[in-house]
Amino acid sequence: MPIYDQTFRRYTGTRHLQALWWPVTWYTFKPILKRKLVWILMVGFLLYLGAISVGFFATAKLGEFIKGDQSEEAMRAIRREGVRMFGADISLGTVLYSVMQPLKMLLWLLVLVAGAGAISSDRRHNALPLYFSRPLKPWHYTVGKILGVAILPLGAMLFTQWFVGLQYIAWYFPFSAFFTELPTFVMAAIYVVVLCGFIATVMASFSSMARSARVAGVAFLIFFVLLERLVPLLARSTDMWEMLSLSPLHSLDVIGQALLQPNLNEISSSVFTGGLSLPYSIMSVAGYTALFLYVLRKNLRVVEVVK
Amino acid sequence: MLMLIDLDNLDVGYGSKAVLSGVTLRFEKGVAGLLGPNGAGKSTLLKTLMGFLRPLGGNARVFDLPVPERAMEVRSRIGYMPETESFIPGMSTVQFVAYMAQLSGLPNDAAMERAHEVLQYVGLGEARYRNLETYSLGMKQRAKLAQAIVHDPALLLLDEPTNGMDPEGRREMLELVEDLAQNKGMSIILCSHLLHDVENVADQVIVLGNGRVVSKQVRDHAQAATDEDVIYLVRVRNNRDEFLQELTGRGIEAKPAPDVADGVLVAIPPGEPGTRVLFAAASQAGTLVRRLEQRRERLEDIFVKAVGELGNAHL
Repeated sequence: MPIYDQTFRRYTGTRHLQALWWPVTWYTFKPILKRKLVWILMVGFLLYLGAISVGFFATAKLGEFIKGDQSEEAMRAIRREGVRMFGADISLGTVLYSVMQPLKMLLWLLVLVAGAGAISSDRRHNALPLYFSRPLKPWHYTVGKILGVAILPLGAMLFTQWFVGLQYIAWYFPFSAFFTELPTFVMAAIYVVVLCGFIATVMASFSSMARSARVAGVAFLIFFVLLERLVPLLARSTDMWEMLSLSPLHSLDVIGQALLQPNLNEISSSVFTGGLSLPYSIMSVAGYTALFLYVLRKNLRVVEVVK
Repeated sequence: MLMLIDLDNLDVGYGSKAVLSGVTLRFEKGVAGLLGPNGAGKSTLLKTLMGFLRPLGGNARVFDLPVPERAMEVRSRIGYMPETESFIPGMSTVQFVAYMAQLSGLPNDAAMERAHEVLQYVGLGEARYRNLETYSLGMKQRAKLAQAIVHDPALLLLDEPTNGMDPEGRREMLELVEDLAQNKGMSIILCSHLLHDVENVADQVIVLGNGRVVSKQVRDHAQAATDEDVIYLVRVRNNRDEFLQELTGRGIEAKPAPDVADGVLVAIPPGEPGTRVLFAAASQAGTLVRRLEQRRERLEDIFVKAVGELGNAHL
């Protein structure tokens, strides 16, 4: 009998088999925080927030800095430069929607860095049999991985939205406006959840297709960039605007517009969505989600099939 | 008594390729050695027991539960140590083992406590804060064993547990397996192509070849002494061939010893006349017995014989 034998005891405690997706989420999320690139991107988020905060401060105090007609002239100059989100004459929905546009690139990159290795790493190191030799159902694993990838981008986006929205109200409106605008905040949160959830699902699915995070990341980028570039060209040349629904980013944008009701004339950087309708957009996002979940599930095979 | 594993005429395959055919086995408790050459279907059998593969025919029950229909309940009571190098990179070993415990339903605190304990038990106490990717192959094997036992399973499925280990590491690993079975009350299925591993720890040996059960042996030495042939290595001074002929003529199974030039392996049936017949045969063959050494029938003989028979049957 080995001398270290005395360390082993029988386990007679409780076992909880209901929420096994949670450990998967936690242990997917935790290593993401150790990556330097993730923190560099988070600094990008913070810099963006800082710039917007300075913008709010400066435009709200413009009247104090510059007296009389000059301040109105300065405000018009700012608007002419395309910076249209500052000022009390636009809606909160427009502000929150326009905040999202430049952040989308950061969001992609964050999901890419966080999720490219989420499942490919498990496949590469033959970890799937370790997971599935336990009472873990495939949906536990799938939900756990997608949430693990989505938590950080979702947190960053939600924080950005609320931080900007609250500042906007604080600078230009009385406090009671927060309560009247609460539905807009909720809509913004739903949009962010849909956006992050979809992108994380796509990333997890590509990650499940490869044994290398690099390959999964490249495939993810190609998928989005290719569809975003090619589909509008195709739609324009055929004059079939519903074809834009083939591009999930365009469809997501239409959903965002439906939720936040922004004044698109005030936003110079909005995505051109042509005549793409909301039902087509919802069908597109739901269809892509189902497809990627199906692919992900198929790739969770523990046993390699011998041909 | 509850039958841990009950397989009835089981056929398993990948697509149209049959890997196991007509496997019938029963296993109550203890250590069962699953022995066979590479590709015999050992790992496939383990995967079937966990419900990873759906049988093409026959029935499989584990803990009296049908698999794969009730695989989740089965999986909550087994521990599995895969053959391949399997781990989750980017975390310390203690975190990895605690994670695996949580996936078996243990609460967070208990999982971490158990992770420390089992890593100490398998001899990785000093190295438990290191990441798994920095481990040697032998250490990774120990870590795999730790994750398999951390949730205190009733049945442990070990697939080639001594792969890549040095002789000392192998001995310690087999000691742990023996201890888990004898003192910790776990039943174990030890899958190996190494005769020595199975011979040392298993009390029931199942030899698989070409997807079929070739031989089932209960390694009960007391029974072997009374019911089975006793094997002797007999070394004679000269006339070995005449001695062999004389024994065969008397209806005794005998063959030249492969590794001893003047040796003959003789299987003496239990009871009378015992070894006296050897001396009588030697006298008749005009030679003298120089040395008489009793050998229990080694598993190697069973294995080689069983797989050899299977090969002949296919010719």
